[in-house]
Amino acid sequence: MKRLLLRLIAWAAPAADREWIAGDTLEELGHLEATRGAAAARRWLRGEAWRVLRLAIGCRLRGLAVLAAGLRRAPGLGPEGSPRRALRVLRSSPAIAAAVVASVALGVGANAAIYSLFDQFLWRPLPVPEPHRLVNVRSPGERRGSVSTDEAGGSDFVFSHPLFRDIERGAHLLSGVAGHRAAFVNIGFQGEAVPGTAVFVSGGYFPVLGLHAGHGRLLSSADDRAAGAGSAAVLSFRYWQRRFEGRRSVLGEALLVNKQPFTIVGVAPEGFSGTTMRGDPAVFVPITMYETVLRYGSLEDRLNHWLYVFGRLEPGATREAAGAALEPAYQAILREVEAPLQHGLSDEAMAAFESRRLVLDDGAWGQSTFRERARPPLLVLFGATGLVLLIACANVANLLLARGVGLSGELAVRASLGASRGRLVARLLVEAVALAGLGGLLGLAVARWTLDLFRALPGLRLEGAELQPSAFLFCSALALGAGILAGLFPAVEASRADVVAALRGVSRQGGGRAAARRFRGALVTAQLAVSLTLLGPAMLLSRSLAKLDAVDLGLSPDGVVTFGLGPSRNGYGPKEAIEVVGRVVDELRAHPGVESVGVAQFPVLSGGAWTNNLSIEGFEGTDEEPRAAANRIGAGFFETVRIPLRAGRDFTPGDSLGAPKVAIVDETFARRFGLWPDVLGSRISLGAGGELDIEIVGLAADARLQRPRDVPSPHTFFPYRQDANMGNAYVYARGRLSTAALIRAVPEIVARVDSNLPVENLRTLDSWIRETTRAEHAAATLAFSFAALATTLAALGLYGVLAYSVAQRRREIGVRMALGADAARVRGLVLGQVARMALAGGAIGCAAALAAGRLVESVLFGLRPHDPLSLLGAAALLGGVALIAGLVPARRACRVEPASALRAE
Amino acid sequence: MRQGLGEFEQFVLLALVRLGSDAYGATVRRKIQTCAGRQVGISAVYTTLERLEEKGFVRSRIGEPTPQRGGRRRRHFELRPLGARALKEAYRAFSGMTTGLEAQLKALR
Repeated sequence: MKRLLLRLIAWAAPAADREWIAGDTLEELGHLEATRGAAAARRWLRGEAWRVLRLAIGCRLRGLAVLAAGLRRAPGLGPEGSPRRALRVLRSSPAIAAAVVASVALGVGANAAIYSLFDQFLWRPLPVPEPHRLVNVRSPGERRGSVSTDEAGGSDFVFSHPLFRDIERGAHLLSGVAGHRAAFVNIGFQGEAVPGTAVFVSGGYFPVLGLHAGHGRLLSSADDRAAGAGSAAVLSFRYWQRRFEGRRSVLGEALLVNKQPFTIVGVAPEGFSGTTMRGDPAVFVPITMYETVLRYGSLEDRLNHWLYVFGRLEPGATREAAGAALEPAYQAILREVEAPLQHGLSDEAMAAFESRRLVLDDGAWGQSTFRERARPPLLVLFGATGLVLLIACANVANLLLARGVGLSGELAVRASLGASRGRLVARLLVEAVALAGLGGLLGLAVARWTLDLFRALPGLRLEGAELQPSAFLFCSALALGAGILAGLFPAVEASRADVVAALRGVSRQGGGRAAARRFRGALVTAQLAVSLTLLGPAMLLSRSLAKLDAVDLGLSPDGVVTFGLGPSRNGYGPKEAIEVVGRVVDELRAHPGVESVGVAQFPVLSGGAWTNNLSIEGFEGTDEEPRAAANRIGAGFFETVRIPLRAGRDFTPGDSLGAPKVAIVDETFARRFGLWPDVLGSRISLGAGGELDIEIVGLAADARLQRPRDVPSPHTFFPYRQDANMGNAYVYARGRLSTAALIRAVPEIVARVDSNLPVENLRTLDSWIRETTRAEHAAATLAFSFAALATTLAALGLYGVLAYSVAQRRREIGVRMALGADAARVRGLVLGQVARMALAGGAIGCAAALAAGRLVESVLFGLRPHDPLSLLGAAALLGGVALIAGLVPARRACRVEPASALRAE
Repeated sequence: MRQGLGEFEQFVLLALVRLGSDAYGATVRRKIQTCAGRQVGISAVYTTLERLEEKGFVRSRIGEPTPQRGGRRRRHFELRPLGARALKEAYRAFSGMTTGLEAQLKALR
């Protein structure tokens, strides 16, 4: 609550004054808490928020106020226009009012939730001064050598450290250039080490962002003078609060990052958590310590690409001009320094390399793949909730039409007493808007629940999602629009009341005018069509998910337990790390409940990959140079996860540093690079143009080791004992025991080797694999939730129309029955109406569902977007629901007593 | 051109006089609340200060960020000669009108 109010106050403040007003408010809150207690401080904050809100609404909605004032004075509205009066409908027809409010609440709430996500994750720039002057630096084109990326961007965005320094020096029209890279580390303080994220930043990082320290100082160019130097660390504000309870005395204390000593010199400002969206960095340290702390990566190697780069435009400079100004220096470096390092390129590839350019992208939102990844699904969701709102509006229109017919007597009396038509329309419209307004209020609660649902679906990775204050405004605007949209036609229609007929009481019989009847039928048809539009893709997603879950991975996870070890994060060097992992493996093997044990440096099925370019004996490279996914594994890995070895041998402990280098490849590798079937004994090397120093000693069957949906790609495996940079590893153990017993046994076994070595991520391989399809599960769940919501609303609409039409046609049905129509015929009359609407709606919906299927095409697995079975299933589901919605009114029609129906006349 | 001061503007200027170098939104608000007993919002204080700055009565400078404000900076205000003159004039007018009335004013209900 407190945070929300504070944010509200900041939001309502004029942008220029936001910083001091928010700061003053926070400071005053602290002052009041200290002097007059928490309750008084809370009261004050509430009052402050209320004052601010009135002020802000006064300013920001002045246009609306003028409109409202004009409306109040509009001729013909008079007291009829009073919303309080309009809400009497709540008392006079509570069922209709409740249905209207609920429909609007569901429709508006779902939209407000998505809007809030857009606001929070896609639209809000970094909390730094003038974020729109920030630019992200990118250089499109394949990178040779080692490429490592993280959530900040793809391979076009990473640069080698020397190249970054070149760009930093050659920057014109940029007031500064900075580099950064996040890494997972162990952070030790006073003898306790906790894993966390460190961001390695260049000296320009904080100055370019234009940030001031929340406390102490930030890092500057004085901190990144030379490789291996620089021992200052800046805590993120949240980490400072979380781990150090905001104590100022931590300044000057020692902090260990992967056992490397640093000194805490400052705290970053509140609200700043790095430039990578949703990153939650603990500490910022100089980039010069990257190699020292992590024991991998290189500050010197131009073929080692891992650093993200951004800059700040000088005032008035454009991105294009700044990019062009960088170009000459960049071209010179490419030609003179970088090109000679690219061995074995054809002339054509070399020309492409030398004509590579630097591109500056808008950096106001920082660097993040999340925005790009989140935008399409959020847009699809917005589309879905928009359709749900349309259906809800159709329901509201339908209900109001019905109420209008019910009101015709009263309206006729008013008309005969001299009320103008405009006045009647206004009254009904205000009524609709007032109900919608109530729905909008409830919609806020619905929005909250919807966000709760989003947060609860882990595959969406929307953990921090919160309802944004701006969603309140959006919600009210949407509710207002929905009220007018849904209320206009019914109001105009009801005001047509035929005075004479109404007063004689005959208007009840026709079911309203023909135009109104057709309109209601059209509304229901449209609702059914829209439902099918949502059901179609929902079906596609769930069928695709079923296929994905059934895919043959080429390995068997049953009975396998996995966990991570990070010896390098605990200060072990590469050789000792190999030792330690080897001892853990030996201890596990010795355990009577363990059948086999394997090690892999990169966890299988984690979605990520390490790829290398290679030279392969006898393979004449075209320009597409051979690349393959790579992993470092230990003896027994294949046996443990049950990937069959087709030929040759597994690694042995003897394949160690100093022994001849060996590799195992998979069948796709052998076939793709022309080694099939005599792959054993062939030689390869990492990188282009070097000596072919690695001998292939084994051939493994294909398996999907990255993601279940990937098509088989070439894989290479190297023994981890031959890794001169060995740092971390994942261990896989297959047990004779149950996996639960094995999970209990593992920590103790590891502790026997080193009691300070944390066991990370201990779980069954099965649950690990399930995790890889979590996003797909979440997408299918969401799609079905919204489709179900839409279909329910449409079914309610259908039911309402039929029930109403049966009630109105009582006399007609009575006459028919009196003339000899039997129950089946009468039922057919009603169900015929259902069938007409369902067929028309279904036909339109099928076309729309086909189009909507294209939107989800990119996430489908093993299905075409026009998969007929999915569409048929969706249509059948909708037909069933329509039939159920129609059966009750149909049965009621059969029970009409001809005599009483005719007597009622 | 001479400009008169509204009541709230007078409060704000008087608070600046009382606070000296420690005047910014939060302290001004607090001063007005304790001395005049008025509940005012911080943003209202800023709106008024901004108006006074436009008129040339006060000037502001941006301070250093402090941790109890979540690393946000302060905007300090101080009285300028023009503002001091206007305040004096307002005080002179008010005291001119009230001189000799103290007992009567207290007795008013």
